[in-house]
Amino acid sequence: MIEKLKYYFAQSAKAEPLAAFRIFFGIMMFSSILRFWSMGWIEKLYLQPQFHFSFYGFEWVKPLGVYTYLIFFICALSAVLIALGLWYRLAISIFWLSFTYIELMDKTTYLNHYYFISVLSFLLLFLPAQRYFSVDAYRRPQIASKLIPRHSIDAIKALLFIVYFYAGLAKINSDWLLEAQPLATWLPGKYDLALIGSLLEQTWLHYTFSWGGMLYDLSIPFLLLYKPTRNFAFALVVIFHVLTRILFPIGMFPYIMIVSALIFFDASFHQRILKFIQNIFRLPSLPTHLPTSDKQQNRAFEKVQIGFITLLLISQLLIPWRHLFYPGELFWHEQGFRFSWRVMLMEKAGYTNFKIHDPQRGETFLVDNQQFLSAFQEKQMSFQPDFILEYAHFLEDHFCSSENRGDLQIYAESYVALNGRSSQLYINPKVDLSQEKRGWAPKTWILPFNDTIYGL
Amino acid sequence: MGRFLSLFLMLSMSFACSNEKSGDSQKQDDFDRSAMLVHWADDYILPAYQNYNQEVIDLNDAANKFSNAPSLNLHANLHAQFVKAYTAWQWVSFLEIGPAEANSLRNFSNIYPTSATEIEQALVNANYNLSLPSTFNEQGFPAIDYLLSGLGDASTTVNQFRNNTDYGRYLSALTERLEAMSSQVLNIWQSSYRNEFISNTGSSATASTNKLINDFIYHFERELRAGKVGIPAGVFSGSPLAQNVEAYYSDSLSQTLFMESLNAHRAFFKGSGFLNGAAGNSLEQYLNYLNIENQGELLSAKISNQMAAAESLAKVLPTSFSSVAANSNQDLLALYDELQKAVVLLKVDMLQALNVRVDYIDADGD
Repeated sequence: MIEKLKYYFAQSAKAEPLAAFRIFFGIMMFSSILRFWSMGWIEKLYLQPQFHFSFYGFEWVKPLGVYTYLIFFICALSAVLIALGLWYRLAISIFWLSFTYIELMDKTTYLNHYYFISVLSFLLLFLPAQRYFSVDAYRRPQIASKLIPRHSIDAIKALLFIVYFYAGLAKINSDWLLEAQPLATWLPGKYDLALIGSLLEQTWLHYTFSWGGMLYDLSIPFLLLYKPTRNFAFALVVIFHVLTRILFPIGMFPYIMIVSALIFFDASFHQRILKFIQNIFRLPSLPTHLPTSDKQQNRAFEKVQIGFITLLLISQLLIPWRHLFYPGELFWHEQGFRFSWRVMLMEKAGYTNFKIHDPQRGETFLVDNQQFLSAFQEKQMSFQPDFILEYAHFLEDHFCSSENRGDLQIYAESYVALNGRSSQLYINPKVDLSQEKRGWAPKTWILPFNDTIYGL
Repeated sequence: MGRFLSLFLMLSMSFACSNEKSGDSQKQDDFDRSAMLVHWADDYILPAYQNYNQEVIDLNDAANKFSNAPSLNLHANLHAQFVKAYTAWQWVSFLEIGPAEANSLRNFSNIYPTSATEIEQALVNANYNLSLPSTFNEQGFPAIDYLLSGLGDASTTVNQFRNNTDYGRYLSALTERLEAMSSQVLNIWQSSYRNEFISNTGSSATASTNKLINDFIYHFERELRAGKVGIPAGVFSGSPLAQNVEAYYSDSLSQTLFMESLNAHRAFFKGSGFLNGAAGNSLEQYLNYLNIENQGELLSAKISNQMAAAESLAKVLPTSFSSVAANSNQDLLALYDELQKAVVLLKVDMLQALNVRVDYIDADGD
């Protein structure tokens, strides 16, 4: 076993796929940030709200006022440097840090695909993507190489494998497969689409898409890995993601996944892409004398890298199962829902109001959420328990300090509906949330789900 | 390319085949949402605006007559017309879309409590600018309410208007502004916005259906539930705020205005036309078409019942909500609770069923 591993890690692969991946990644990230900026979302999501929802342990990560633009600028700039392969290690480090900082500023905007970018850029930190077809390689021939360790390409494939396969596993549940929810709720709303609009109201189509989506996610990593089915699989990738782009507001994600899937193709394919780029931009032709053996200057450094990559992939395999530590229905309490590739699984909506009781003054009043939260924040807060608790604590602090009150009791009156079911009471209205602590412990103040969803 | 083509053919074939097979189990009669928009525009919105516009034209006439020659008789006429116009307003208040939204019609027409101090300061000044957002609480129905009933009883008011013509001038400026804003909104609806409204059929966040449903629920939650009942009952402040009721100075008008507003919401939900109650495609029918059930009952029926429950509580209340807030606030709180239940059904269950996104949030999902 050890011998096999040693043999595996000693193997080399052609550098083209990773170089092409680096270029595509840089371009995709640059355009994503440009798009985000041009939509006015920096202002709307990070500057206008007076309160921001933090991830537990990352309360210190906050928007920096007008300097938030600077973070986005730095992030975009590092994406360009990544594409160019200029100061690659520095650029990818800065990209990972700035992008992750942005995602941690307010969890209202959490999306699985942002998390995917954070994980992927962390992985890229340990991959020698600058060795070929990069400004770095051109300027410092001593680092240039036509070969790279084989595991550096396989690591990306493994991450994509996990993302797809876990997304597929998560779809094996009774709501998705037997009720075709939430697609049965979402698709009819797109009735105005050209050509397929009226089809989207058909029940058989909801089931077709649900089952098709599940089978797609589970099988696509295998179909991409297996050479005879690779072209067919890639065609499926394109069709699937373009379809999701048409049907759902999911921004750049489909394009990122389509481009990422190219990593499964052979080096010869990427060679043609690089050649094409070279011709368009009239780049100087690649040095022919590049070393063809993959000589690592620093074996110890490489071992550390392999260690990190292994840890990252193992954690990716484990983190999605952490919900098993929590009793009750995952979709309902959402403890362990994020960071698990559970994509498009729920249509969840809520309505949550807070009642504040001041025992000293003998007053009880309700909070007008719009005084503190943006519409987007209020929507997200209304059905996610960790948001509800954090906001309750904010309210306690706010009314204690601004109105000079003593100890306050905070109660939530919350109604939530999941996947087309009737709304039901969500948070125990008798529990004083100001006494509840944030953290990993099961949240006992979430009322049990009135129904059962079977499956993973 | 060949692979692509064959795959595409395969897919479309399989779609076509299964389409034929499941012919009878599926709904073939698509709910006609564009007919719903036409019905809303022609049978509710336009007649309601026409009615409102006529009432504020008459209000302006009555105000000018009274300002020119203040008398008890003209005061009584003016107040009667004020009630009619304020009542008509309740039917168009939630239509904050198109020209009404662009001109902030609701903020300029009905922000309460109004500020007596600011009104007194403004009216001595000959050149007030009522188009500033900072003057929301110096104009509209609440400010007129103050000028007609807030200075004292009818004879005190008449004397005040006789002794100081600033009052009459300011009153006429207010009614004139209401009329001008209303005419503008109605004209735009008639000349161009109706067609824009009914042709903006899609399902995007800015499409007419989506926007108006959001406006409707927003109004139910924040104007009907909170503004007319919750805030005076002290739900948001801890203790009752009797002076924050709608039409505070007229005193016995708040219940009437509440009932009108509730009826307007119900008529819109059920699709009853404004003039003759002519039925058409409505939210109620839309929910029934989608066959949305809520705990074994049709969701549309639950919503109607909840509105009826609120109505039955409200109609036995004294006509002045400020005295209810001061003397038997638990009745207002009970009414608030019934309205709150309706908000949950509308905002959580109905929005989810109709797949309408809340408040035009535009951000990516995943």
